[in-house]
Amino acid sequence: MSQNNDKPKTTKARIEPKIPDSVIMINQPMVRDFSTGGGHGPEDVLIEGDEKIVTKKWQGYPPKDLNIIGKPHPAMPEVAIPRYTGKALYATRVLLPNMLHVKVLTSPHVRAMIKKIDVSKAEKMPGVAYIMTYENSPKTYPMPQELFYQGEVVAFVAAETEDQAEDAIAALEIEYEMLPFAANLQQAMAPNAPDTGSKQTGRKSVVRGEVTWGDVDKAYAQADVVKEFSYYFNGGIIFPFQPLSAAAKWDGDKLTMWVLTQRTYSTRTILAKSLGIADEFVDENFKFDQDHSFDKGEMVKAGNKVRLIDKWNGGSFGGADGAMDRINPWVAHLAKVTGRPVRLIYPKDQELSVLRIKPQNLTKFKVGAMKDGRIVAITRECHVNSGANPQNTGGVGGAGRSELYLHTTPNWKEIVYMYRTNSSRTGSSRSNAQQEFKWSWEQMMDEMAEAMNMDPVQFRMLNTPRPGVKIAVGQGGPTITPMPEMENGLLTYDCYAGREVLEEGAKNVGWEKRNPVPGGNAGRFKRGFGMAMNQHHAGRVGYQEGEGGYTWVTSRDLNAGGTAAGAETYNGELVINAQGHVVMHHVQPDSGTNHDTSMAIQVAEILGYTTLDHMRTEWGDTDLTPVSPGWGSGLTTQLQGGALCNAADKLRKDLLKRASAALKADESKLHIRDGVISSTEDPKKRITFIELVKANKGPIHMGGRACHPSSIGRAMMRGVGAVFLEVEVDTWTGDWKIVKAAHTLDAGNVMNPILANNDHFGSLIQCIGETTDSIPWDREFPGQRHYSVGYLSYRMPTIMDTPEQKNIFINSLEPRWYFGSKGFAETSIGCPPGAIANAIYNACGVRIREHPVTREAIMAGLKELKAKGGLRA
Amino acid sequence: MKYSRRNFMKAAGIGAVAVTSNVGTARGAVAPPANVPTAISKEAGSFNINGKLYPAEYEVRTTLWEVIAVKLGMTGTNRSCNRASCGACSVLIDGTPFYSCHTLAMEAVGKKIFTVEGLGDERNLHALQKVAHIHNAAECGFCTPGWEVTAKGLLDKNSNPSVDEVKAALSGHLCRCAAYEAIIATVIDTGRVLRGEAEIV
Repeated sequence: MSQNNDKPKTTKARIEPKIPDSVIMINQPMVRDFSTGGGHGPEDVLIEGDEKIVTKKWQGYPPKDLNIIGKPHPAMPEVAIPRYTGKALYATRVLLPNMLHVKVLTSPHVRAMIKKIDVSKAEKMPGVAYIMTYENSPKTYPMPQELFYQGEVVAFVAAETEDQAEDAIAALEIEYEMLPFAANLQQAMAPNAPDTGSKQTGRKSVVRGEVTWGDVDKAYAQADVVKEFSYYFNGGIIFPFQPLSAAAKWDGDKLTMWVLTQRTYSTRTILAKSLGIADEFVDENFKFDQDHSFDKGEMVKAGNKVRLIDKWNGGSFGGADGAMDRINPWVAHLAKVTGRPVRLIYPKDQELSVLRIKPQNLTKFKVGAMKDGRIVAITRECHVNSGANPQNTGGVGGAGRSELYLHTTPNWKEIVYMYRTNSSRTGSSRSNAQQEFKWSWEQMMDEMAEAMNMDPVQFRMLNTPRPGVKIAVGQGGPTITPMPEMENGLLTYDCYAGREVLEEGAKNVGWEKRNPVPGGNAGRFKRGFGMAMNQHHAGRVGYQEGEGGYTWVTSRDLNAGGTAAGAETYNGELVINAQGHVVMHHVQPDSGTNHDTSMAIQVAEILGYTTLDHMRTEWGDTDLTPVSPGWGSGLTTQLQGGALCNAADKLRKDLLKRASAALKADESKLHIRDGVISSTEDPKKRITFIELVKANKGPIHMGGRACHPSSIGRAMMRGVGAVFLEVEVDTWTGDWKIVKAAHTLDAGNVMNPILANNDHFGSLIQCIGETTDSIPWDREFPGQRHYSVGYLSYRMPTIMDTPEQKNIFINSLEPRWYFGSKGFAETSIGCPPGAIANAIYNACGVRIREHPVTREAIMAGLKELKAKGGLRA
Repeated sequence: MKYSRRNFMKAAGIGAVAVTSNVGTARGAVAPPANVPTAISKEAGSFNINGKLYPAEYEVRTTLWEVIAVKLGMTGTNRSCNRASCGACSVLIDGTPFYSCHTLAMEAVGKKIFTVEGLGDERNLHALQKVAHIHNAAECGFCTPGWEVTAKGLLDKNSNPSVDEVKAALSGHLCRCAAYEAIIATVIDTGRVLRGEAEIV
């Protein structure tokens, strides 16, 4: 360091953005000892040779000489600061002059038919403006008369105050006729279960599916060890902190709504169609469908009369994604008929009927292995309570399977029973189908390791596929589609850090101190170690091969692989304005994800900036931002970010071209740095972005696109992660706590370690909650119905429940995406429930196969052990 | 009986009637059965919020949250559970944190109320807000105004709290994103700034 540097003016400690102490970054070398076999696009070969391979071609921009990526950045001020000042505009904060407040009456019964509603007393009550029931709800979008699950909407009241609306709700007189029901899995699986099928979709009460590869029966006959296991997951909830809410106002025939969603354009299209104001897209037979997807033209045009604003969500976690899509049209209708703005804030204790939840499931395994520990056959039979979903969604399907082990298991069979029941809708809820299914998978792996007399880490190491392994499409199961890089029907498995997440996790948690004998430690307080592994999201790299590539993708035959080609195109726009700011335009709302910051980091890097000072964002408003599908699955920076990176790439080229003309210099001899383009040969030849904007006589615009991987059938890049835990169990009380946690994740090149670190703290702590508390079935009326609850009944982890935690990011330098990045966030999220159960077993010898993990379950297990003489004092 | 704010407030409302009847004012209350329309008296009072007086009308059952965030339009204070469980709606009353969803407006009349709006705005951020931004102590931000005012109340009384003291002070605040590590670091580091031992860069 030069001696001329200014000395610090003060001796005070500095509080500044830095990589947190809890973060460990492990950079994998660019030299690999395996090939991905391509995976780049239809014509290019990514990697050459098979031994000691150097990544020669990177997707657009290699992870070299980076100025911004990987540095610690606070979140973008325009998104983050309003959260600290109380000004982030959640729908709950929208307060308009003359606004009415809406309250909702929900069904107290599991399944019922409304026989009669008497509103005569309620409508005369002070402050009441309008009461809406199935009798006067919009014809285009009627409220239900048959109430299919507890918490279904019965009536809305709009009044001057919330209290007055509640008074009126209490004065409504409803006569119900109870109908036979099956709410929970036990009831649905009973031989005399009632018909819960959907007349609307034809979806039957039970749907059975079976997929198979190889010959499991033959493999069991040849296996050295065959074991069977059974596990039960009691369902899970994610409570976003912001109550589900919406505010609406009409200006003539134009509707403006403030909503909570993760898929703004889709939410808008549903709204417009439900209200019958979707212009030429009027669809008289339109029925609400939570998982409906629309093509781009429909999403752009159908909502011309609707402006949706959703910039900030107070959390959404997938569970609130589109949850209000079903309710929003009724809120809008109330604003229409009263001629006044309205706001609905759902009561937290009734949200469970609107939020999507994690399904209950019963999972049985039959596993065959050879003496050396290699699994040769797995059969998994799942019984899933898929709730009131009218379609066959929200359950196991593709994402529920654990491709991690199955891909290379030579013989496997999956049998799935999906039960439609009189209970809340199921679906993505802080991951799609991970925690609830990895609960059983990861316990099974532990129990199988024990049966083979192997260390669980070693057992997984042996049965986790190595990158470079070739598998057939059918072997990969339903989540794998034919892909352009397929050779002779074979795909290359190329999830890079499958082994490293195990090695690093074990090293950082102190795995060597694990009890050789479960519960083997003496004394009241027993410590032990457990781990689980997770792989999530199939082939999740977006597509970016320039305009030619898009033409190929969007014109492709759907049957050639992938789904909904073209419909899943993400659009973004960059604008350089007269101040020299680069403004990103995109629609995605921020739920605490801070994806704007991660996307701005990539855009700024492409445009040659060394800070984020010139980056701005305009987001979350359908009148101001281009159409895109929603965000989710830890893929926002890949999909919406892919569109913006695509725009940045084109903008960079455009700026160089403009500068070349202005400076009369060769484009290849120009250099971009912090808003200035200069000649590498003659530094006097320089022009700023601002001057280029001036010369353009207005802002410079550039649009970009990216495709969802499911529309393409991309390569088999996978995110993989693991969670290692040390726990302590109090054998006198059944209390337990996490002493130490190591969360490992192959995330590719991490864009921002501050945000990555925070995300992973949250991910573990939330999943502790999902492990210890399930859906509160049957509390009030055992055996009859489930009970909607608020925070009082669902015990969320608090500030007192924060363990010592290391977050280990293994940078596997994904060559198929900008700067070697990968999808983030959900990759290891399925691990904690299984890891906790495995750690408790190692600590005290109690194996909890029935979720949730409770003090009572631990005490019951200890009592049983003691009776057998198996508990060490 | 199901525990609810509504039932809680009904009981409180009846209590208020008994008290006020003594001074000879005719009043109605929300009396069971609830389906009989009732007249509820309006009160008027001045609320001292962040050092300024705001007149507002309220009913005996009206919560402080409704006065602040609906009637007076200071929407910074979020309400989440509405069951006195989560801490999102916290405000300081005479320096002590209260859940405004379960504090009756009439209880707060004449007292000093402090909300997130009093902490600092975008032009003049409080040290707590600046440090929180550096640590990314708000992810979704819905719990943030609540714990910020509680942390302010703590730091006003003790600018050098230990980690355990911070946890104890904030234990009534749920953060669903579980940004607890960053929240703890924020309060500790803000204490250092307020004591002059550290500076925000």
